[in-house]
Amino acid sequence: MSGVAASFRRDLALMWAGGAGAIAPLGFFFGATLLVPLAMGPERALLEAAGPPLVWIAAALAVLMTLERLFQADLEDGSLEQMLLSPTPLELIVLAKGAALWCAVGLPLALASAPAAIALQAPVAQVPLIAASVAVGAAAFIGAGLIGAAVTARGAPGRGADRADRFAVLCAAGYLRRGGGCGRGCGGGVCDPGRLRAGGDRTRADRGGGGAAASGGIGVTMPNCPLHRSCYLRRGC
Amino acid sequence: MSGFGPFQDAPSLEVEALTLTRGARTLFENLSLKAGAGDYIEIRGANGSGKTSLLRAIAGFLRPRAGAVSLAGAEERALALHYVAHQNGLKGQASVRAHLRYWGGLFASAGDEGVVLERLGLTRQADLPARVLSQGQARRLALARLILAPRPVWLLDEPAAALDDEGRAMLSGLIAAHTEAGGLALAAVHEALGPTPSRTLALS
Repeated sequence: MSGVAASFRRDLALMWAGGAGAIAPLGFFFGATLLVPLAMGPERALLEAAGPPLVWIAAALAVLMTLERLFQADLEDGSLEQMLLSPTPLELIVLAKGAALWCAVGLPLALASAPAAIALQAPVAQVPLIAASVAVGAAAFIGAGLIGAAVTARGAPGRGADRADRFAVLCAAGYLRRGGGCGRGCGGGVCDPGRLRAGGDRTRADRGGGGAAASGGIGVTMPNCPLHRSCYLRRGC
Repeated sequence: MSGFGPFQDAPSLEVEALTLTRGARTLFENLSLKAGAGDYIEIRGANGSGKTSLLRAIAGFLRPRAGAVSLAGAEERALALHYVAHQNGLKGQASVRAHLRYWGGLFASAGDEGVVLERLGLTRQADLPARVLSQGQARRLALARLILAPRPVWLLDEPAAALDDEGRAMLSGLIAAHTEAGGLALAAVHEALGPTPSRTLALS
């Protein structure tokens, strides 16, 4: 089994085993959408206009509920360090985690949005469209939310929050490795931590070689780019 | 023996003039260390002297204030290291076997779960969720990674924590077999683990 498949399987199993999977976010979603007709009154025109957006807002909040612990739990129990030592690229592991979350939460939410939309007086012809749009939307929320979850995950209390522990690297990697923040301090072979540290301050032109030039990707520089460590780990330095 | 070398290239680790800080505190300055195939090095020091930080810096999880760590002898850094930390990296809901399967995928290993379980003395607990394991059993499960996927360099942070006498003997055997096969092991310890260290590094 590849690292990606293993990560996907594990995350999916964990979401269903311990956290009861989609039950909490689904409960929230139904609660939020079904309260609306009670709160706004049964006026059909009002509900018809407000229904679809409310389904979306409720779905966004329900996804948000599940994101918070995504990296935090892995960081606290030491699983994240093991992921960093895996030969599987971090981007792919994160992608697998996102895909597992979508299957466990995004898909059930999309299905649940159909009855919720009907309860909110949405035209029946539009219900499949709403469900499909929530399915796609949930994937987008998860994709964006993963970055937030990774950036805000911090070292466990008592261990000190060291910067390297903010595993922004996990998500940012996919975007920034293509030529973004990392100064590519290592030039293959031997590692030069002085360069590693200075990397973020350089301009793109200075960096030469490696990823930056080849990219055409995002050209931002981050003064404390977490990817230095990633290079440090992976580039054989 | 499952899970051990011989490793294609002899691993070598070189730490040059390493300075580590935590917040405003300097843990140590200008620490240098060289180790090669077959070395077993014990790192000793009081609580808070920087043993864990040193291991984390070698693993690449901590950026040193100054100095360098270089690892040679493995084609890819990701295939060079095992790190057994204080945190065992277990999920309470997942079974012992599920953990082995997951790590098998994560570390791209073809190790046999049954053999690993037997060596660790966890065969009877194979289908139990990790949350019901005792501290010592959880530690044994974390050590399973060492056997499951062969890696030339082992970084062990108080690996014997919570282990019983039999567990310590097993760990000692693992380290001895690893170094005999040309591996390299660094362990932060308070009490000797068993194998005679080729060097002891004292942090003050």
